[in-house]
Amino acid sequence: MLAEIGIVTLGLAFLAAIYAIIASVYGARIRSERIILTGRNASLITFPLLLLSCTALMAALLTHQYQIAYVWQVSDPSTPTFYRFTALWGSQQGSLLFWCLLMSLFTFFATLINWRRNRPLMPYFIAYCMATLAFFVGLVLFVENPFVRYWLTPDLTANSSVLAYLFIPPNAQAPEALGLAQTARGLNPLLRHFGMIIHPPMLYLGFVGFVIPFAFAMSALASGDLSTNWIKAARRWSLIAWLFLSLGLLLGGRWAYDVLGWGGYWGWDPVENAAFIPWLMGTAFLHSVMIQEKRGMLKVWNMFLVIFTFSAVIFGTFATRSGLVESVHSFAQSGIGIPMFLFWGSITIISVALVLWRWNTGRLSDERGFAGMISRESLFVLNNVVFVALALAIFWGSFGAPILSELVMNTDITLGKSYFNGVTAPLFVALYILMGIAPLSAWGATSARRLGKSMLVPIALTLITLVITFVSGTRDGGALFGYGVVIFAGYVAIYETYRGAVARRKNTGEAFPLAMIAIFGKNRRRYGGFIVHLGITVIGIGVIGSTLFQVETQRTLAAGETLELGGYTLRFDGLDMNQIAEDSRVMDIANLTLLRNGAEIARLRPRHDFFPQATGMNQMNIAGSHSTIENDFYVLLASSANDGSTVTLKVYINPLINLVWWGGIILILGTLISVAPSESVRVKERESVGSRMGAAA
Amino acid sequence: MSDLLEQLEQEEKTNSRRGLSTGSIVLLAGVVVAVLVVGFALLRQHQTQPTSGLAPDFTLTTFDGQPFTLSEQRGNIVVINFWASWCGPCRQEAPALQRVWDRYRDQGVVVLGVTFADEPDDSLEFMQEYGLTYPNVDDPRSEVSKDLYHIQGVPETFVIDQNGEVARFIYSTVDEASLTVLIDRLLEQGSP
Amino acid sequence: MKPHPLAPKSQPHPLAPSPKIGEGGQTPPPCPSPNSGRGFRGEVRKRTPRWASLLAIVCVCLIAAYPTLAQIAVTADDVNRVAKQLYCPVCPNETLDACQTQACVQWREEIHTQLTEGQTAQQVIDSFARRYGERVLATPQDPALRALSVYTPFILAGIALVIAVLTFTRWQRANTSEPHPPTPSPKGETDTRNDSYRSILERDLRE
Repeated sequence: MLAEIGIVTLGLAFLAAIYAIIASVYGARIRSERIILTGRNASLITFPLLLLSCTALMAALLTHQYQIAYVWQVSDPSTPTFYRFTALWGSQQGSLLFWCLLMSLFTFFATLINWRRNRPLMPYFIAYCMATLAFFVGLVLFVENPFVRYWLTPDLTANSSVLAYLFIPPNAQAPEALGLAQTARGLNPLLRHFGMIIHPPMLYLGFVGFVIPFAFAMSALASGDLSTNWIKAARRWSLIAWLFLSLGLLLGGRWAYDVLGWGGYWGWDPVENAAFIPWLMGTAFLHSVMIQEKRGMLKVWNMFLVIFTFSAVIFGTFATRSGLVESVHSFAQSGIGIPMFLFWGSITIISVALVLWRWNTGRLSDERGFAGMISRESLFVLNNVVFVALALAIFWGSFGAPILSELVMNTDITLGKSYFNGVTAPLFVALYILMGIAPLSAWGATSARRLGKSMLVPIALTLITLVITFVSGTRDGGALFGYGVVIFAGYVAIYETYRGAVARRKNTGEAFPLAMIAIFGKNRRRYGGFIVHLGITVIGIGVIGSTLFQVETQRTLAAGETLELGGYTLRFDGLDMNQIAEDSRVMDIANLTLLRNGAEIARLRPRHDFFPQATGMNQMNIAGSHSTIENDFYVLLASSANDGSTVTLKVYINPLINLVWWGGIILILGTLISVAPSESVRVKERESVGSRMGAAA
Repeated sequence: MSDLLEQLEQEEKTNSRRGLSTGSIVLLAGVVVAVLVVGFALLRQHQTQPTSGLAPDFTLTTFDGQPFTLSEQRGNIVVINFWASWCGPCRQEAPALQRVWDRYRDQGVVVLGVTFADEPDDSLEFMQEYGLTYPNVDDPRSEVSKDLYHIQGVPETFVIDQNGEVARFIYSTVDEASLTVLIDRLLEQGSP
Repeated sequence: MKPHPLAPKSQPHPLAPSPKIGEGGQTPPPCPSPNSGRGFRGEVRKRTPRWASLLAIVCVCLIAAYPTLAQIAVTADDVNRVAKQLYCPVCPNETLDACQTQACVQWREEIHTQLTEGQTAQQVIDSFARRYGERVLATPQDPALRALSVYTPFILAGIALVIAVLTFTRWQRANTSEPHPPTPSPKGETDTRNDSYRSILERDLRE
């Protein structure tokens, strides 16, 4: 019953999406409002249909329907209810269906909100959104369907495998429920962790969210309305998508740090990079559109940036799901590789061709002239260039070089941390420098002298901070330079916020705190953006500290023995072996005491989990760590003697690493402030809608 | 709104059509090349273990120093077993493979072990522990295991018939009973 | 691979290591026993005092043991320093020091053995590259591959810079050929900093 509901609603959603494309494009061509409306309604229906389909799968998971192959693959009778919910995205088919649901959710609300406001753009917007949705729903329906069920067909012998079918084969019977339940595979152990629970949905929301700005851009190209309307319509959606993508990346890093057990949070793994590249392009896009909004320039850049952001999103999900490059993150091999590749290839080439065509006809030319090398416009162009260079370098290291070396030179190579850190570090330094200077620059021409004057206070503050850092022990020149560049950008953000409040106080006579609140209320974009920059600064400090100053050691200890690292003493007290948890995992837990200057400061319990029933990945190393702002004292139980008398510990001290997570929280707060509509913007939008309706009359 | 659209279309027609600038051509070409390269990589990566057709030929050196070439074994059944000393399930199937070798070595069946990512000392220790007397070859660069046979891990076993074609691919540990059934069937078919 | 729900439980895929990984501690090779000087005792010359012979024996032992003493001090950290630069053959994209599978444990033991024999870190890495191929190295050593992978981003950065320069020159050209004058530069330096800042700020916030 549930499987039938799921399959039928999926099929209907697919048909609705196809119809929406045809109706919207045809209706727009012949200018029939009626047909366009039917297209819109078809696109709106996809959301409730996909919601029903997902609910059916969720219900199947919760009610132990092991005949459905997906349920059998990701759960077993001992799986706790909480993980049954998250099993929805535990494997390929379910996560694809979930992805479709999120995409239809976004397009549903984006269509409703923008229908009146941006009516001219809407038909093609719907067409592009539905084209993407139809592709993914088609993938789920025809290639990786979560609703296939196991059937016993008459031709099976005792030893052959039971196969799964979408539709009931003739003379088939359902396999015995008890047998299915007993052999069910269960959720992959790596996914039984809090971080893994929200990391995929956040990432999917981020990826899927970028369909909206892409569709608006394509709609602008197709309809010919190349003013800033598409940007204004897409801006908030871009920010929301960026917010979720940032969250997804931060959570992924945190999960890797907690669970994967190698002492770090970012391994430059190809799949990690595949999610990072859209973030880089999306950030460049978010900044670059400001120039088109305020100065009518960089129209072509913005088109390319949004296209390549979306292309990177599709490439990212393609590379992850198809196993293009081997990775610990990859899904199992499946048949979706080729269809996804074709979709990615065609959508990239077609969009680029469309932009080039419009550019060629002169419709995307700049509205204003060049204002000098240190104007904000030029700095933003440099900003775009650095982001694109970063994206290309990371793409090259993860995909370009390994693929080319295998194709051309028949050698498998893998590029590691040293490549990525070496190549991206100077580019990140350039980004932080730009992050510091650009807010101080002005639209149009700026004199170098004025710019220099504005930089005095932040530079002074930076130098003071650097001196303090130097005095307190940091002597490494590279680290000091890195800290300096990063902190400078942070001080600029703080200083500009301060100056804004001061200027407002001068204007209105308000008290300083009130002025602060007022500027955040009236100009969420600008000051929310400064908070985001501050968050990036804090993350930067954390990254420099934990990358350059990490120390580690590995030692085998017997009970009572200690090891020393970085001023700390760690004592091994004993090993609790073969502890069984409620989900039947077997744990070996080491009891450790952490001391500093003779005083006990923490008890750590790193452990090694073994999952006897799981196939494939059946072990996990969970670290025990003591976190302070200064550092993380992080211990892994690498191995233990069979009788528990000795343990081998890997110990890391990661300085300043918690700033990465705190910086992430600041970044999220800043983005939330930026996304919230400010009063003046709402007034403007009402005005602009009115003027546009007047022009059309 | 319709007036606006008409106006825009008028503008477009009156604009002079320039040819695509060099920058545009380079960009489009670059994108197309990138897409094609990724496409080739995908096709390459899709190659999985051969389950039929001619088995890829190779020459490797045994631990005794003798060369072993697969194509020279035409006329014999060859059971190629990829293994490693660090692989737990390989320990379960080693005695079975040795028994198969003892039973069929005079009937034109060759059992060949190929090590995967293994240190020779560890491999020799393993062979001594299980008393393996069938030929074992060393494939350190994984050129046979990964590049030719596309294995994903160990153990994986390929049964090659007398004509050099892949008769069966066994994904995990070898089940002695079904292997002997298969070998008996192939011997029957092969005899004149 | 389709699962077989009713067939006997499938074997776990062999990439899974055996559950308990014991890492044998390596005991350092013993110092050559002073008893090897047994012959000395029997051959002690009457005129050399006993303490001198004992001293001679101890010195000889120390000199003989020195190379092995130097070899003894190979810690797990030394092994990891080398292992960081190699890749695990079994788990993709995990460096050899982080990977906990039995394969990597054995590889690390091999590194330990080679370091104990007196090889330098670079020699150990070279021997692994020679045996297992470039795929185990974190940075390729083959010059062609190195050029392909490491130098290319710098070429890309150069291209990016060229694009930036082209954009600026295009703007410059558009500037000089435009019919209407470019945006006028803001007020001169006679304004106090706060005033001109405010006007810039207001312009920022208004547009």
